[in-house]
Amino acid sequence: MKEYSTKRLVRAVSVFLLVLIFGFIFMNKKELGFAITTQQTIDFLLEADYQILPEDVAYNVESKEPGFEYVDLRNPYEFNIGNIPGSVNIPQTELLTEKNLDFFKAAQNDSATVVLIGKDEATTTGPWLIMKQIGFDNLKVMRGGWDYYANQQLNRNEMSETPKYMVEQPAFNFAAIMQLMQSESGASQNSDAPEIVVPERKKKKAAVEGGC
Amino acid sequence: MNKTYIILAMILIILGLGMFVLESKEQATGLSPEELLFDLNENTRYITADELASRIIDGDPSVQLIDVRDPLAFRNFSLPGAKNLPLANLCSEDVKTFFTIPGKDFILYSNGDVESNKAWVLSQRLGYKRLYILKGGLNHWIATIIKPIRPAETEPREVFDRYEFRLGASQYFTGGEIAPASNTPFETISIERKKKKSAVEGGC
Amino acid sequence: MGPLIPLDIIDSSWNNVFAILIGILFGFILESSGFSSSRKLAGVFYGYDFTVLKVFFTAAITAAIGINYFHFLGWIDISLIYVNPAYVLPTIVGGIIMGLGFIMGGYCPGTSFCGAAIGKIDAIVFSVAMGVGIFLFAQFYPLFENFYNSTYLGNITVNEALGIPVSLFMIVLIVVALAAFYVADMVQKKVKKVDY
Repeated sequence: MKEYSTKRLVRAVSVFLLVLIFGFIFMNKKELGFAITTQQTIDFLLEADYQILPEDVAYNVESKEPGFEYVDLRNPYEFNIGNIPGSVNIPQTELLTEKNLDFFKAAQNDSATVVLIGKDEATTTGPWLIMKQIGFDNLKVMRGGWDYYANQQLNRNEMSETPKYMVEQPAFNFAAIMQLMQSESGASQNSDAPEIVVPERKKKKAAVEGGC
Repeated sequence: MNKTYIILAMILIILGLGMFVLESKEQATGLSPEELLFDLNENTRYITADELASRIIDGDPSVQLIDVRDPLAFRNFSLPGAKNLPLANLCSEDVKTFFTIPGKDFILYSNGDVESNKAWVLSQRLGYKRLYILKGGLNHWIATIIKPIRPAETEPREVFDRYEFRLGASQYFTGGEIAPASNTPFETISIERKKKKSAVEGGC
Repeated sequence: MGPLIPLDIIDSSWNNVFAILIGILFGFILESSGFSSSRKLAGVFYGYDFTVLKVFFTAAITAAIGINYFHFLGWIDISLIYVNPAYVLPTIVGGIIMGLGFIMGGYCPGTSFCGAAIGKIDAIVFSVAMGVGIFLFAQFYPLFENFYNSTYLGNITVNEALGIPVSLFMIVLIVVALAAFYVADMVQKKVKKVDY
């Protein structure tokens, strides 16, 4: 049997291995990753209290309570229109830049509670969830967001059972309303209603036919 | 036997074993925090109540509503065709299969915006596609679609058009055309799963 | 051409240029490793030369390892790689037909062009006949269209079909490859040498 020279083979394999080794050395290590799994986050969400009431925030701001940092997630324009005194503006889009992460880390090291303020609670919850999953445990969401906080004086005067920031509270008894509306619409079934529904459908259908 | 061959074979086996290490390190599928934040910055995830109403009325088959409230609230009232998915069940295997049904827009809703946003962020992190949120939730849905408020006479024409549409939609959702929402059978996601499984066995 | 054309870094009209360059490179490597000789190619069936087996098996595992490692390093996205659709029965039948042609003619499609390029008459005949075969296939395609499209499994990979992790499949593949190389060498030593 003819012995083949293995020189070229060895050379090729060495190059391949070198490429891999270089790859591992220069691999852009993801500095940022999620520290907790989704299941852990859900477990936390179901139990723990991560919100802070706007009234409490107002009290803390007034009495200059130590150990609190206020981070405003709205864009600089909205921030300049009105903000909580002493709050830092970190627009949501820049939440994960190195500088801002350093800020959050510093706050964590000082064991300060960082209160996130967005336009409303829904827009604050997303960024908070991201930070929570990255591993920042000292963040709280201010309920109602700036929209509520700015009108606090007004809201306080309003004689309502549930405060406005309780957006997840059902505002109606849904089932009862549906029942009521059904009985109403049953009475007016023959009036104008079908006329409105039908043209709307026709319009849509024509558009579909044209498209395909 | 040439010695080089043995060494080369050893390299191959080592690289092959290295794959096990890589795989275990690569567990974290789904989005990175930056990607998630990027998606969050885009407000395209919201779908308005009017838009949703017109899609349901048109019989858009891609609409898949997902109710993230607790089962009790879901049984009390839910939107037509909605499936109940409380936050606690988000990680189960059934849900994973459910979210991969092709050609569906998964529209999450709760009473307001907050719970649905939570569910959206968590599911988006897991890498599910085509997730949306009903803007304003059920409270907004009832206030605009089911009980539309007559606009003031000074309002522009479009507002009145929208009001007319809402009146019609209100009839549609409360009238006799479909089974009343409160009477829809209680559907859980695990029912859906069987269908999906057989589809997988058959085709893809 | 990699990420360059889909990302519009290079205009797509360069596609054919790259195709020709890669083709020339491929042909050069085939020829320089002796793949333009039908005797060498057919040797794998008669047991006196297993170069084909070794080269293609090595290429497969090298590529597989490379792709998986590169994916881990973030250089390529494995989910974007095109996976050929799997038609089980038609593939088996096609493989048998191709194997028969391989034994009889001593070439596979790529190497036949390689041989034709250096002026081997058998390779030229093979290439022409291949063209005729393709033409006939296209003409009679409706006859076996049903079979051609049967047992479709989708764009699936072996480890997905078996439901095992990639790493396990890879290590099995590597062990099988090494065993095959070893056995091939044993057989090659036993079989009477052929001079070509």
